[in-house]
Amino acid sequence: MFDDKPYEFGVLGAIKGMLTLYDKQTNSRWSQLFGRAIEGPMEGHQLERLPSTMTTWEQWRQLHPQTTVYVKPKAYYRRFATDHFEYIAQAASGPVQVDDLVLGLEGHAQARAYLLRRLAQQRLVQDTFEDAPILVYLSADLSTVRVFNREVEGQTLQFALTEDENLRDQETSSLWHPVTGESIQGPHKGKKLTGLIARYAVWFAWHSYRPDTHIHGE
Amino acid sequence: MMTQTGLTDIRPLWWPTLVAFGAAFSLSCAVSADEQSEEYDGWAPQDMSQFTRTKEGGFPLNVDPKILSATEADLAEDDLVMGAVINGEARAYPVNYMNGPMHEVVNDELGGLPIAPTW
Repeated sequence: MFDDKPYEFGVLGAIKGMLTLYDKQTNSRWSQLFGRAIEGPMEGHQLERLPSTMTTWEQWRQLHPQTTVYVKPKAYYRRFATDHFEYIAQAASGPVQVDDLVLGLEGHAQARAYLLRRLAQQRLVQDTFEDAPILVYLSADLSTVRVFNREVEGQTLQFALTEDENLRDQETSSLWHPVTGESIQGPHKGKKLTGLIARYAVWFAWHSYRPDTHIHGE
Repeated sequence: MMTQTGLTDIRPLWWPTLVAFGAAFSLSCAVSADEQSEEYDGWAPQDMSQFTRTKEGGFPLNVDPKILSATEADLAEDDLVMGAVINGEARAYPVNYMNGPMHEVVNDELGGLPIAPTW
């Protein structure tokens, strides 16, 4: 989640498990998940959310060879444990836990959460969100999630995952890149699916943000 | 096939909009959750929903970030990054550099726009 602002933000800490920020200019408190000031002179102010892609370095570099990189001194570098990936890959069954990782989609009237560990089983889910046909894609290494609108030039497409990790639509057999959403082969070549902003959150945090959330599949 | 990092390291907190602060404390104790599905009996994330801990005055601001080219950056292929493109300018924010209370939000500028990537 990226936000655009003329203020400078720092971390205040965690309050009831929610990451809380402050700004240097007014010392207001901000909810990181909500992107909104919850206390202080800026209370109620909403930051603009900008699209971003969570993926592996290899994938990002392929998509943007000229990319720059934010770095800290090596001492600050901490790699992720494999535990969480294993949990997501293997713990498919069982009810939703407070700390389960979800992918959150929010619209005006609807909010939906996809449990990552259930998403990890199928990796491609197609359904409807706020009257738009969508697909949710999770990469094989569990690093990358994308959400796209399945409508192309007025036609709703049905997709399947190919063996080499592309999307293929049933209507024209065109191949589509699952991360960029661009068609790389077939009648639709060159066209691009519209991406939707979806965010990772821990279930309790997302639920507090959008209490009207429905969990996909429940 | 999952990517294996092959390292034992700080417990995970790799979801972007969450309390890395609290999790870094508790997950390093590696206690498994109470309830599990019957098939799976391994590590599971802990309930952080009651955790509160703030620093008086807040943590120092993360400003004037160091930015390198793709080749200078020396990242591993499977490093998770948060990528953004603004006004044609692309930048990757490696999640591995955004752990810990001081580093979860960055004050940066990309494509002429002041942005706050946060994890």
